[in-house]
Amino acid sequence: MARENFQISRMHVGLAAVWRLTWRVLRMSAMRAWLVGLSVAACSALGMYVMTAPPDTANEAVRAWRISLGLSAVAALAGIIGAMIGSISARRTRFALAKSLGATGGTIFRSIMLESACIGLAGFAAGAAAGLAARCAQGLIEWSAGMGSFSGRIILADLPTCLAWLAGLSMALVLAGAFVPAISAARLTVVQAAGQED
Amino acid sequence: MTQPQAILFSSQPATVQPAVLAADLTRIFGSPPSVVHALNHLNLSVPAGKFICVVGPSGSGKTTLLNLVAGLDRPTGGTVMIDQADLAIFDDDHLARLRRTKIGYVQQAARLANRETARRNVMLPLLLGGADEESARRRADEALARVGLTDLADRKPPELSGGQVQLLAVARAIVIAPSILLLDEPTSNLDLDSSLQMALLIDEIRSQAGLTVLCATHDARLMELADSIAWLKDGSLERFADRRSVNIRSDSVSTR
Ligand SMILES: Nc1ncnc2c1ncn2[C@@H]1O[C@H](COP(=O)(O)OP(=O)(O)O)[C@@H](O)[C@H]1O
Ligand SMILES: [Mg+2]
Repeated sequence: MARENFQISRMHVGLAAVWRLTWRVLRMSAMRAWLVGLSVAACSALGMYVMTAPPDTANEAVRAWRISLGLSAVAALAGIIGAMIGSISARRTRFALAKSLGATGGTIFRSIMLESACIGLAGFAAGAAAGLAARCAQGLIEWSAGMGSFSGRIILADLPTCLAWLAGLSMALVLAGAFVPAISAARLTVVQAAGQED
Repeated sequence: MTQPQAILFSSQPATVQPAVLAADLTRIFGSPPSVVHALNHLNLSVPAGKFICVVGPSGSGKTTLLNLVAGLDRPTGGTVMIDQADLAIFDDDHLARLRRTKIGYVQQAARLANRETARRNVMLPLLLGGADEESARRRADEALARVGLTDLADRKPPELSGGQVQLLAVARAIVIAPSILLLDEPTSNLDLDSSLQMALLIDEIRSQAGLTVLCATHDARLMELADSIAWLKDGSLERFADRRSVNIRSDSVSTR
């Protein structure tokens, strides 16, 4: 009989409401957001630069770039995890506020993942643009040095695949980096999160 | 456990069911070498629609009790029942839902979103409950009007006085139209004028039919509003009495 009194509808908090909560109340500090965004942007820029390289680029150079892309992805992941762990502990009282007002663990989890995805998207876009710009600059230099036509120095044939690939990598990085910290934030109880009060 | 019979054989309506029931409630903080028994086998029954003041010295367990009733914390032992439902059977999400539909809680240190306007702060529990922007705004404005903060709706908490912040916390607690209102020392940090205003407001709110109020306080003005007073000492119920049978002025001094 106890349950009957509690037929509180399993209301789903819509994405718009989660976004509002994220942006207005839970938002991570700008410094940490930059750290996460720049980590992603660095990988995205490097990836873009490598993938638009002309076919006559030396194999060793391509291999070196690929290795550094892999390393930078690992470094970015470590940086993102570190920034997320720090940002979750800095935001404990705000999670406590949201929870004491009736935010569920799921709401907080989604809020953090949404926030990370947005930062990741911004980092991906900025990085891809920067990588392309670097490749164009190099193409211009090579063209003026008489190393062939400008369009021959930048391979854009695979641009859509390349963008999709980098977007996927960026999302994978931020979401993987945010996942465990987001779960720990979702599981915080209000009393833990608020610390001791008198 | 004789209640069902009592209902069967009684021509009168059953006695008012407790809205909040704490049975053998224990909450221990810390681990073995240094444990604190914040609540120690506490028993307390709050009938629906009543206003109970919880008094007791600092550290006697008032806040711990309110946190457990609000489902913000889990007991070490014993049970909390809200409307005859044992909170132990609820998972955390269910408790969260309970907080945004049934229980308004004004915490001891008003926790507000400082980057949000007063109106947004009041809208927050509604938005978390899935309300749309429009109706949330309308209900928030009603709640702000009720506490007298209409003119300050667009200010942010850091731009408000201590008394106004506390009123805002009350507006946020009542905006969901809770059936249980928990107040943790709502006047303790206020100057005389603000605490008078707060007492008047609480008196106005409690007149709402069916609202159960559990209020931790040291303030004699709030105790005078109560139906009953519960004294806590070292985490246990020391005394529970009808307000009319206590001399509040002297008692409140003696329990301080
Ligand atoms: N999160 C906590 N961790 C450890 N001890 C706590 C915690 N919360 C409360 N206590 C202890 O429990 C006791 C009761 O605290 P509290 O309920 O806040 O009392 P009151 O509200 O009556 O002043 C105090 O001794 C306090 O130090
Ligand atoms: Mg207290």
